[in-house]
Amino acid sequence: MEYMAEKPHHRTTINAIDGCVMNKAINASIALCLALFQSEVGAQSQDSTDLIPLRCDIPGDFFSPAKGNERTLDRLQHDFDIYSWETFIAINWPTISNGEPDKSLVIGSASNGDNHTCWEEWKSVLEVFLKDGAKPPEWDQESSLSAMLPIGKFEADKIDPNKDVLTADGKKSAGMTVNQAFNNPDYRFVNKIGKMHSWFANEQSLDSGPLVDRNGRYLRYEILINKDAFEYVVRNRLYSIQGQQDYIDTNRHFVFPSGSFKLADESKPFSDFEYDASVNNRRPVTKSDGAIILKAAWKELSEKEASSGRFHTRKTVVYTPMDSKNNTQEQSFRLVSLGLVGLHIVHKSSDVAQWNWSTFEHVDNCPDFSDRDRQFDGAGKRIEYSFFDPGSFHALGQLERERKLNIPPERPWTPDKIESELSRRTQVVRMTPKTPDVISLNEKFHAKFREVNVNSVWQYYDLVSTQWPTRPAGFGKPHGDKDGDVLKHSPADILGGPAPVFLANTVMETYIQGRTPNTSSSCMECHANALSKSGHFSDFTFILDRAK
Amino acid sequence: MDVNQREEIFLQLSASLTGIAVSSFAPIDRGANIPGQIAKVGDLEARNSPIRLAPVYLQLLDSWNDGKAIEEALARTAAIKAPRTIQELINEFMQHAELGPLCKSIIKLWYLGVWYAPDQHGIASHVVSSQAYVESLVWKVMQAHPAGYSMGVFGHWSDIPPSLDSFVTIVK
Repeated sequence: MEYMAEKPHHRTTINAIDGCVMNKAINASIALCLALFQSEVGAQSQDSTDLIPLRCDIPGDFFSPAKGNERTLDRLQHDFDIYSWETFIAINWPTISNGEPDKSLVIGSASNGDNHTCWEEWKSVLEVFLKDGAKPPEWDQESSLSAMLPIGKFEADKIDPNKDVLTADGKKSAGMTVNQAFNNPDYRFVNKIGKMHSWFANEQSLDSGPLVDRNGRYLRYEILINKDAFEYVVRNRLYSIQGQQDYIDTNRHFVFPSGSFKLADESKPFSDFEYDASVNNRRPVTKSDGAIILKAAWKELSEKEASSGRFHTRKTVVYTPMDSKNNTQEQSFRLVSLGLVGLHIVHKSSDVAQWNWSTFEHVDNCPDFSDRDRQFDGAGKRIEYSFFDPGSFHALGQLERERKLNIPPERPWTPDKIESELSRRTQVVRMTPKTPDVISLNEKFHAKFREVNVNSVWQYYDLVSTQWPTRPAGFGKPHGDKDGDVLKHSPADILGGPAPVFLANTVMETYIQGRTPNTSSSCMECHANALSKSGHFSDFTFILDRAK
Repeated sequence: MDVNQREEIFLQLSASLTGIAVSSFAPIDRGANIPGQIAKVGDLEARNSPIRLAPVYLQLLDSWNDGKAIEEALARTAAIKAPRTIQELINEFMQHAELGPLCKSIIKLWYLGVWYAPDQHGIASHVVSSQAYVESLVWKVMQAHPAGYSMGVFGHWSDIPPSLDSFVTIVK
């Protein structure tokens, strides 16, 4: 993997990692750990989860060591889930400031157990799809706030760059203007609140409403794309409506680049999902990352939460637009500590043309539906969640409390304020429990993080599941013919039989959990409807709809 | 014959009865080379996994007439040896008083997703499941999609339907 150490970036630098200046002794011990991991794996069986090393390179594709009759649905699901964890680890690796991993560090090894991650240096879609279809700055160039304006869908949403950024409580100035905050690499910038395109876009029929945590704070979201996805968009001028139409006229279908592995011997025939794993211990060597699109969910942390050591945390300027329909009369910017509570990772790869759909959550988010009545843990301690309050749930009558589950607050929504009424804070429960295999896998990876650092914040994140196509487009074709063009290879079977059928993240698809066909959350089934601004199938991503 | 072999034989028999290759009507099993893997129908629902129709249909066939007819049909299919062909065997089945109606019920299951008890000629009992309805061969061979559910992308209705071999593979 190449490094671009000198390239500047506007969001963050490794120097900004809190308490992450590591001395030589620590570096040496980590190098030793890494060496041990590597040597262990070389000596063991291929599918032993216990011995999967923490690695900073993104798996280019899905890979299963299982062959023939070993390839049951459960086994492939297990291997997809391992793939998801390996991807999560790679993209959350400490960065050298431009989105590339710092190989001298290990995820979560800093004294506070946290680190600035690679993906936080990727491009926000706000930086890519600009006003009037303008060309965005190159990958390694900084975006300017003025080029991104207006953020959101309405002209009324124009940002005043000279406006003061306020403190978290919104009561006084944080001592900087919006423009200064934007250009400060220590701070990130997040504005999205609702599930859909912008904040509370009333014309969005699918807007499922905001999520309010137990502290009365609204959740924030952002969408980012990696370098391969960004370069595909820019190279083909897909950031503009005219560029999209020109592309379709020439190429017929949008096809984002697929990640892939290097083949040990290009001349050898091989089967789908199978590669020569011997060249790099368990996993083949990545040839190209392919397009990756992320959606992250963040919550504003209270002081107690921020100091708990349980959240991946970033100082962030959160923006709330003016929205007279929701009684938000003035745009506001507040400097807050955001904690990561959900992460979708969507990755297109050579063998999985319909993309790999991985989703992670913070362990404190909410209980399973079946555990909603539990108020105390085994030690008699009151259970606390970020998005569920067992006490106030229990205080209501049976019928009323069931009605309150997974329901958004009624309008008006005021995301720059704290919702003081308990009844306006969302009571979230997980409707489809994680499988026992995923729970076991999560425990193994948590233990691995603790081996590096008992304080690692990453031990507090769980994989929910991975959705994948059981009949991926192009399956069974020679490697060279796997061009990722789903419409060409599977015009009558776009979805390719998703497994599991339904998948929801409780903080991103809160209100559409369940198992109702065509209604409940299924990553692939929903994203198969994604279109470009030019009105064409956009390869399972909604980002092209943002072109101007 | 263990459960996996039994399902495999059933799929072979079904392919010959419908004229459609196994990969087309048992796509979940044959997609990623996933071998037959029998679980209780209830378990499949609970696991939130794609529904596999073959075990569901076998369960229905087993429930009719104590499963004797399907057992005989599968045993005879498994025992077939060259130069005898499965088509000759099926011609024989169709003349049989019990196996003939049974085979017709199997065809209706795959094509319509509807259970017709073999001794209740022309009387549909029930649509087996929403998945059976969606995956019915009838939609595929007409290069269309079921009412209320489409795998086509936005605007597909303005294009010529994909070729028949995009939907199913015909047994030659």
